[in-house]
Amino acid sequence: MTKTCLFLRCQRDHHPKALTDGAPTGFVESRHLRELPDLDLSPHGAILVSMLSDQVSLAEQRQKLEAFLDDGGVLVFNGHVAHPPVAGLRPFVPGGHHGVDVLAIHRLAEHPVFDGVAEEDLTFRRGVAGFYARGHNPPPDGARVLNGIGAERAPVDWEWRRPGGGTVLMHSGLDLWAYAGDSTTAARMAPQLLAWLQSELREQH
Amino acid sequence: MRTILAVDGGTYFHHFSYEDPEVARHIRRRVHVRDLPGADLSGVDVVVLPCRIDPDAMLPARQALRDYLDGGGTVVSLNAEAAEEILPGVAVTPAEVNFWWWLNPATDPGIRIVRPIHPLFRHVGAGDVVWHYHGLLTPPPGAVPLVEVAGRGALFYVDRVSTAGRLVVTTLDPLFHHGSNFMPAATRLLYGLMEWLAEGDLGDAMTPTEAPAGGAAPPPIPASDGTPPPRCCA
Repeated sequence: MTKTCLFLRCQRDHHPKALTDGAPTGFVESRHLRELPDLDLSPHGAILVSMLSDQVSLAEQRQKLEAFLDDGGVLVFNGHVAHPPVAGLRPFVPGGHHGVDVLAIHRLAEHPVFDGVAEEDLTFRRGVAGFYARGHNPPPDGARVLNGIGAERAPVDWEWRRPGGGTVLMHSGLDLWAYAGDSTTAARMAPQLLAWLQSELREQH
Repeated sequence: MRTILAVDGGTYFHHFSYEDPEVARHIRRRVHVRDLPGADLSGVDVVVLPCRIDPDAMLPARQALRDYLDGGGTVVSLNAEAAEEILPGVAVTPAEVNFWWWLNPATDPGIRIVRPIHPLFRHVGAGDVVWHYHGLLTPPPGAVPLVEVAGRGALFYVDRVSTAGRLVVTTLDPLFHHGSNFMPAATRLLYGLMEWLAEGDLGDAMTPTEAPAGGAAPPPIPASDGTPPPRCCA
């Protein structure tokens, strides 16, 4: 059987429609983050972590999460890393505050999640820069940087195929699925994330 | 200087806000929310409850907070979500969030400081409370609103009626925005709020401890002249 995605919700009414309605029924299972210590992860091939997560509690599950990755799992992490949930992740580094140059998003490598997503639709929302990211979570050696921010192209989005197994897809900002209702190409990210995960999980199987 | 205990929901924005030296210098203790029910609050002058925290994580601390308030403590709630389940006298009506109001210079979100002589505003500027908001509060009779959305409800009030202590309630969410490296006005509000809590006059002279008879309006305190405050962004 193909494995499913585990979305770790952070509040009782935390049910992003893009996740619950954007994939075949049952592909995304929602459980509260506080249930993680008692959850059997074997039915799941991917874990979706929101920017709203209690990272203290998440980091306490490091052994479980690393075993999940060692087993070939995919960890999708949104937000700024404060308490690294697995080895190799490091705390967020803030970028500059102001100016389009500082906040501009640049595509550095192709990835199915960002296919057809225009850089300007990540840089700007209704003409305002700075929603997508405000800095970066430093990638480990060997990660492939997908999108960078500012003149230095600081690594906002990256994919890390871990030497020990498994994959981390990092987005150092607002939840990728929060753009699902936008009227721009940014809306492509949520469905493309779910499609990519379906493809990854088929390969795991 | 008052002893401030800051509750941490474990989110990155709580962490980075509390770690900021400008905020950290006012915080004596930081406690994860799951440790709050068992925390020793004796000797704590102010408990800060952060914004965007899971209300279900707060519920186990409800009685401890009530006891602390009944013992004369001060609780500051920055959370718009389900605060009424945690704290006495709180009534929140969720508001549709308009992140974009400031794009049109003609838009006035209607946010007004209704008691500009309150000592909070020696630390917090008028423009520091003007951004989007997540919920509207209906203060209980006797509580003193400090910031309102004209004709719709309060964004910030102080209540010494519902308990023997002091409840400071707002639906503005400065920890989220400051901790996300996001919005200068939120940073100014957070810095000013923490300074006020740590060393400011909490304004008891203009905050009654009993509800007026018949649920009458709050005490007559000079209000602002209705001039819109300075604008900020987002």
